[in-house]
Amino acid sequence: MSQDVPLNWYLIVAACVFVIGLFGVMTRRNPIAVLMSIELMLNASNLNILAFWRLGTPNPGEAPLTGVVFTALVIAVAAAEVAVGIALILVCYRVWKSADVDRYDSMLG
Amino acid sequence: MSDDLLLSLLWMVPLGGAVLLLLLPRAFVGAARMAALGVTLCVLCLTLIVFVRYVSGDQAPIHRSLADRAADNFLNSTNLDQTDAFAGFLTTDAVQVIDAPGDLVVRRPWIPYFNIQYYLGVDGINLGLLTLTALISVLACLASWNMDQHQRGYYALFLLLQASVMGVFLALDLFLFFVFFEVMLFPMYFLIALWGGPRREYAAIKFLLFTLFGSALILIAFLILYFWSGDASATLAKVPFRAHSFDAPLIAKVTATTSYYGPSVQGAVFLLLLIGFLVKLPAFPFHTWLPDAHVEAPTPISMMLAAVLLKIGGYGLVRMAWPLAPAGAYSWSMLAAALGAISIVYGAFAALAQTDLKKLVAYSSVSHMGFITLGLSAMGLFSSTGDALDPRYYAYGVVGANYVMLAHGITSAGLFFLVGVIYERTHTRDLNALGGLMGVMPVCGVLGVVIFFGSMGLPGLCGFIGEAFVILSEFNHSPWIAAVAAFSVVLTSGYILWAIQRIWLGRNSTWDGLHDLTPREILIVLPLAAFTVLMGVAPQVVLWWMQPSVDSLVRDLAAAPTVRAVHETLNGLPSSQPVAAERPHHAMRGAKAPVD
Amino acid sequence: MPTVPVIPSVWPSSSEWFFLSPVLLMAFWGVLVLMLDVLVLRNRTLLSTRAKWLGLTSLVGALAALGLAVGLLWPGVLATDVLSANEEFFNGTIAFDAASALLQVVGIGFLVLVIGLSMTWVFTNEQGEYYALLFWSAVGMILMIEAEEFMTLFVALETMTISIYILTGLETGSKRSSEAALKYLIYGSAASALFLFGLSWVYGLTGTTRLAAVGRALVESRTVEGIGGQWTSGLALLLVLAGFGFKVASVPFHQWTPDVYEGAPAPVTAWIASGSKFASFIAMIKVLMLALGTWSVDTGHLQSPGWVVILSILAAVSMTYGNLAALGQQNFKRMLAYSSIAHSGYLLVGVVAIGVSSQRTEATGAVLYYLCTYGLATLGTFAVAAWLAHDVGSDQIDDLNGLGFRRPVPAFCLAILLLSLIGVPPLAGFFGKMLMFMEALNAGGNGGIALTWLVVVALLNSVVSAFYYVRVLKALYLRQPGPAIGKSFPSGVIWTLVIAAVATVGFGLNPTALLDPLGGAGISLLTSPEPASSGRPVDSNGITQSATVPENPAQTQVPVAPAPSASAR
Repeated sequence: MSQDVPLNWYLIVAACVFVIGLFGVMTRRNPIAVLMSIELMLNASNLNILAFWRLGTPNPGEAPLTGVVFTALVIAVAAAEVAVGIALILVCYRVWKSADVDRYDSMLG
Repeated sequence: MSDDLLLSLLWMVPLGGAVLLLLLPRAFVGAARMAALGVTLCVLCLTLIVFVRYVSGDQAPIHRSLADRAADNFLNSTNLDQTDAFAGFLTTDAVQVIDAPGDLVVRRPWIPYFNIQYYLGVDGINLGLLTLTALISVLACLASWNMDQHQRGYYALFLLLQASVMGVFLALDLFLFFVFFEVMLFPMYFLIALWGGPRREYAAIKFLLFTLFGSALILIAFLILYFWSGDASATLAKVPFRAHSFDAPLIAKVTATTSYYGPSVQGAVFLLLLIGFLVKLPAFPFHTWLPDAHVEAPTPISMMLAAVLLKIGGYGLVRMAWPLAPAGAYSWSMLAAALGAISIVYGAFAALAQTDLKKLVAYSSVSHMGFITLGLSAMGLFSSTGDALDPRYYAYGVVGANYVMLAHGITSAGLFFLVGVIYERTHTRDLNALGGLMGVMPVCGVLGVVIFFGSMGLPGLCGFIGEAFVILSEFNHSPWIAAVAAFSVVLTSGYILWAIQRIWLGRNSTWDGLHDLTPREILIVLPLAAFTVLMGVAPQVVLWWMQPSVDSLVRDLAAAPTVRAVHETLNGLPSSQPVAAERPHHAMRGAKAPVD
Repeated sequence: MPTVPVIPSVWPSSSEWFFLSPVLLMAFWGVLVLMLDVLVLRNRTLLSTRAKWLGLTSLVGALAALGLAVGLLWPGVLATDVLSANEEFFNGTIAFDAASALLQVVGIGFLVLVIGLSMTWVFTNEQGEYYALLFWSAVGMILMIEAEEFMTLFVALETMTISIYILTGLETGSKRSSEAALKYLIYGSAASALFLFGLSWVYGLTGTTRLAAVGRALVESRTVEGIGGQWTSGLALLLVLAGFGFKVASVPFHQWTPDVYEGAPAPVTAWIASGSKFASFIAMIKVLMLALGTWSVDTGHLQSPGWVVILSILAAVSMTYGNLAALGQQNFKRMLAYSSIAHSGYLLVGVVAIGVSSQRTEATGAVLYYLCTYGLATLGTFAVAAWLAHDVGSDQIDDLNGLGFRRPVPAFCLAILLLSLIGVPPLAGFFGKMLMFMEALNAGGNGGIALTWLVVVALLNSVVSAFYYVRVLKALYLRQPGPAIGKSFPSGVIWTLVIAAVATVGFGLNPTALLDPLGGAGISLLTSPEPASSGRPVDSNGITQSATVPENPAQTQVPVAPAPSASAR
């Protein structure tokens, strides 16, 4: 156990990944890149959850597999989100012939 | 008829009438005006029953103050063993209604959780206004006889307006008052915006936003009163008082006898209420919506607006602003008096400058409404040495203010109706174009001159009494302001006489062949002219039932410990009685049964 | 590897399945409608016939679910009377109490009206998918209301939102619809990611995902030490608030709102504005009160102010921004979108009131009252938007011109709803606002003084809002009707309008009729449920006992204090 990588390291990596993802969401204009960045953010959370589950102090009486189950659920949700996202990007691409969120401007105000 | 039913019918009958009119089949649209007239007449009868019940008999309510009568009608908590009358005021537990019949107070729980009651009552202060509303509604209904556009909608909104105004005048629960106050806005908005003149939409939205802004301030003041946790030692009839009440007479009693609400919170509450109601009154800096609304509104709605709706502002000041925050009123009395005097003079000057007859009458309303603020703020309660003066002098001011409300209700309704009549015949309201109408329309001219003189304040007519009382009282408070207000008499004579000259006198062949008043029109003007004379010649007709209520109000104001405290602070006098410092105490929380 | 405790999960009892039956029925009915479309109707019938049959089938399903949900309230239907119960079901993931039972009735009621509205005209070729997704988003919504645990909450929330992303983009041949859907998806998933990252930190700090256990852990400061100090708590709080802020459309997470409201088909907008907002606010209240209650004020464990202060500021900014931005709008749906941001601001005042009021359950009742009445009013107004899209093919305010003369009944109902949204007494909108603001002032101690400014801002905002709502009233009654208006009014629109208007007037005149049950729901919403009393091994903490206390030498051993009983809250 003591040979494990310390918890803090995981958390720092997760935070870095999360910030990279957030940066991508805010700066990228290509919707696919934005979706990828969102994936990064979600996976940063997964990393966090697993690290906490493996190395953190569980609440007394907590079920044993909370972190794993949580991560599995998040992965499933993320997959669904991406599937829907790609579909919508395709629809928009067909309409505008462009993959740039700034071009999608049928509504203003 | 029990007084529960009687008072409730005063606002329910017009409301029911409005709903019925909306449901009226299209085929009977022609009957709408008859139905509306019937409803308003019915309300007038009910009001007269209330009036008679109020003034007649040995046990009549006139002999007992509203607060005492309210204390007989209380909501007794079934969980409490209190036999004290006030105990019922202070609880939100399951209640049992104790009802004293025949005293014109109605009290039922409405939203018990917040201690909100369905609470109506009549005393000398609102009795006159209720009667005025009922009377003017009948006359305005008659005046709308030729209205042929969307009759159903018009009369339904008209009756809704009447219902809400009656409700405002009747309500003694602050929350209920606010509900009626807000409900009134929307029929008025549509009445102006749908049936008004060319710039009706602008005028209507201006009216709406000004009043909504005022009502937000009023609501904030009510909420402060409700949630304030003040002097913990304050008791009312041996029961500790803990706010969390919307009961206007109860709060008035608390401010009159305890220092639960300290001077500074009263100051804030008073300012909020003052501004809120001055918008409605309207007084000087907040008056700009009034000329627009009057010019654009159709004649009958102008009558209602001037005669009745403006009085809501005045009534709010008399019933809420001053009694609920007497110390605030006392500390700001100079400001209020100055605003009143400025309104009087400003309104008069503005009226002098008008060439549009309707605008002239509108600005004369601003001027006359100034007397209400002035009369109420004439709080000369202490001599320069700090001794308490006889509150009688202040009572003159309050009586004067109330009298002005009634007198202005009569004359302004008449004036706006006559303006409407003249406009209908000549299609102009330009004073420079009019003239010489006396020769063509003598009946109109004679009645009109009577009402114009009444509005001017000619001794012997109704306008004089109230204004004289107010100025008399103000001399006791601030001679300078009184002098300014008295000076306005010259201006008022100026614009009224000049208007009479420009409308009726002289010769003008343009108007030959105009027909004089029809019998229906005479039926409208004659009562107003009669009241103008009657209230001027025999003010006792009104004063004998109005005075007792005003006296008890003034007594309470003068006796309030916080008023004395403010006076002593302002003049650096040694404190004669300990007034507990304002400190929000944290021990008390929540609205639940403070008595247990 | 941590010691593995005894696996506590128990197969849910029949009563638990029965309690969940409305949700299960809706989930199943979604599949049924989809299969009906794909296997039976598609390519065999005309689109309009198909739409009619699928709509009717869906309506039947939704009504059946509503019937089941109402039936569960009946005493004797379940072994325990749900209105007095306060238990957790499904191994502590679902609350079995008055709040769940009552609020799911409201949620399904919204769904029924939305389905009725969707039947008014055919705006999409994907009829089967449309109704199926409506059902599934409702499933997510109701599970979100009932969730007692972060995983369930997150999955339910995503079920709801992902379904709504697709619904938004389903309008056939509408550029705006697809654009709105993509924008919604991008903003929404980014917000979900923020939310999830916050949840991961909350999980890390407390070691559990159950709301009540998180709350207890935070009360006892049983947070994991040595992982970055106190700022992590503050960060987790901010991220969770960002996630909810997005869902309820509060500034600064509101950017999606105008576009999505304008671009989505009107029934979907109605569903977003009523159902999604309803569920999000309830979940927010639950998380903030049950789990993060200790973080309402800064107790030294946060490197940021507590959520009361943050939400007060968000509330003030949201209503001011929403109202001011709505002033300039010409598009009816877009105006309603900004007004919805403003109403989120009012509702946040209510959430703050729950945090500070000395009577939290009553404050919760007030917020729930506002949510219900606001949801109904929004459904009504969007019904008009749906009618506009169907009848006039446009959604500008000017298209409503003269409706008051052409169609007096719907116009009158709309006028009532708008007045209620302004907050004119004696309508329900007024009482909702009033009750929430009064509870915000009802805070004991200094809180009352601090929040007065918020109430003043809110009241002045109501005045501002009158300006743009009155513009609609003006269009209804003061303008001459155009040639196209008032051709037909589908019954779905009329029904929605009339139901909404009647409820608005009725609950306005007699607010206690709705307040009393919702106040009861407020009580159970704010108390953490007890585990179901079905003979399981439970300890006094209300947590299924594990065989060994987990040990981890790498961590500081934190003494386990007996948790306070749930009712102490």
